[in-house]
Amino acid sequence: MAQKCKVLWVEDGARYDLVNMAAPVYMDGKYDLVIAEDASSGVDYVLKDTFDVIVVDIRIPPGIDRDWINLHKKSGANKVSARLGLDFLYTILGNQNAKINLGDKRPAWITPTKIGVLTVESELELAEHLERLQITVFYRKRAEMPEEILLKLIEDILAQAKR
Amino acid sequence: MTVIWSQLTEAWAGVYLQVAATILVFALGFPLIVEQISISEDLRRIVHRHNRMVEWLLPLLFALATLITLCFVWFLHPVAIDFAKQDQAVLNNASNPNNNIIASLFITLIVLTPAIILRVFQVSYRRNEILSSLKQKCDRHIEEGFLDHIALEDIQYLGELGKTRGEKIQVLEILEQLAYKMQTCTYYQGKGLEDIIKAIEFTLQKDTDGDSFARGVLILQHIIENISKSRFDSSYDVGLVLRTLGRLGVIAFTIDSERSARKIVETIQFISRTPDGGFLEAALALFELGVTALEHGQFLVAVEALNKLEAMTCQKEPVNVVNSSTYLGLVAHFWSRGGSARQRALSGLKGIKFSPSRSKCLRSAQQSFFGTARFTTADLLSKMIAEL
Repeated sequence: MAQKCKVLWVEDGARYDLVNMAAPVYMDGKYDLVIAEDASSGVDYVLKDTFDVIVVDIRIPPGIDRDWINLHKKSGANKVSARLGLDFLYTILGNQNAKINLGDKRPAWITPTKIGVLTVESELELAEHLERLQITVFYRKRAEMPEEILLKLIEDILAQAKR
Repeated sequence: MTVIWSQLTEAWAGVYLQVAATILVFALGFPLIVEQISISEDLRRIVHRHNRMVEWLLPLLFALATLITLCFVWFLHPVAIDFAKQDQAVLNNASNPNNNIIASLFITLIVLTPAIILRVFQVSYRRNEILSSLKQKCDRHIEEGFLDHIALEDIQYLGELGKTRGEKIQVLEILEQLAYKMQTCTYYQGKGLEDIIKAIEFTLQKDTDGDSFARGVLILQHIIENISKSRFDSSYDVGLVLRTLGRLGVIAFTIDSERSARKIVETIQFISRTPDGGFLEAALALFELGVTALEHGQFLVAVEALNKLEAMTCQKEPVNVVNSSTYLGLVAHFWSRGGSARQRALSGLKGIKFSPSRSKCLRSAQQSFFGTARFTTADLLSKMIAEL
């Protein structure tokens, strides 16, 4: 059996409201889907493991790490206004705008081509950040959202990475 | 009469220690006992998180008790002994009229302390007051452009643990007001009610009363009505409400089943008629509800769900593979029951125009349910394809 592609999905609703989106990924059989429900566990996963694809929601809670909790508090203690998903992306990509720096611990395997964003915000709202982060794969959560959207996003990221 | 200043002997020190310990135990223990006995756990947790008055109550009482003890020793220690009556200690309060007043004040304070504590508890732990203060916190943040998640979590917690219909409805009303306030803010663009919708769902999850359940469903309907008035290009909250209704529909069968479930069916169809209505989410919610109704032998609800799903699907005629999938899934469940249920499913199926064809739509639906790990439905569709 071929080795499965490792996918990290950073999404707080992944085990609750959006649980059905994971089913097509499991059914496809090609992917090993790992779920992180907050920024702290997302960072924890990327530091401990290697992933072929990272899908990130912009509105995520901080989790248990003190740095992320403090950043969350500084940004209004609200996942909507804090948009910790963006900070998570800046951090894991080692961008100069990162408010939390991983320093030497930052894994070198993480590149913008392995990352996609699946969020409620429109592309226009995030355009400036996405450009800075060089992330091009973006899907918006909306009504009429098919359950296969996560699978499609993963396939798009992999196709982009191969190019 | 010869008078000398008395010494603080070991015996007296023992007495004072005893008095001090009694006062401290009383001052600290009494509020805790009252709190444990008379206040429910949910209110206690919230008040300790938010109410600084209660937070400071114990240290304050400790300081007060220490002060009272010191005053007691200072004023009431017998300072003089009459050698003519050596066997009788003359207390200060007997020789000094001012100390009578102090002693009276001291005793009054002891009597008043429980009354003050009870009053503080009454005010701090009143459910109305707690909810109102949490709502105010949320309101302030909404005006600044976002929700206070900690206060909202606590409102949700009170809703979840609410025992009576009144307690649940009280929380639901506050959530409705918060949702309305959010939706009437200029920055609201059809997204951002996630936590309020979740709080409504959690409040209804452990509900055992049809009235509060119906009220919760109505609030979700109002949320959609408000979204519809604004005509956003896309609203994530519509899909969220529909998915929530789908889950609540399944829970409804554990309450008074039919009434609540039918209310949800109506609400889902109402939402699907609005301009932002998410067809896919609405169809899936009706599917889940219809299947659960069939499993519970609630055929009226099941048929109502099928009927609404048929009506929604017909509006998309000729129905393509994407739009027909969920409907055909529910039809397969009716089909598998045989008899009257199969008869009803067939009559509906005959009246719908499929594109490119019914058989292709059926195969696509089977693949779609297989792809989303809904094996029971996928297998029923396979059987139906083979038999049709």
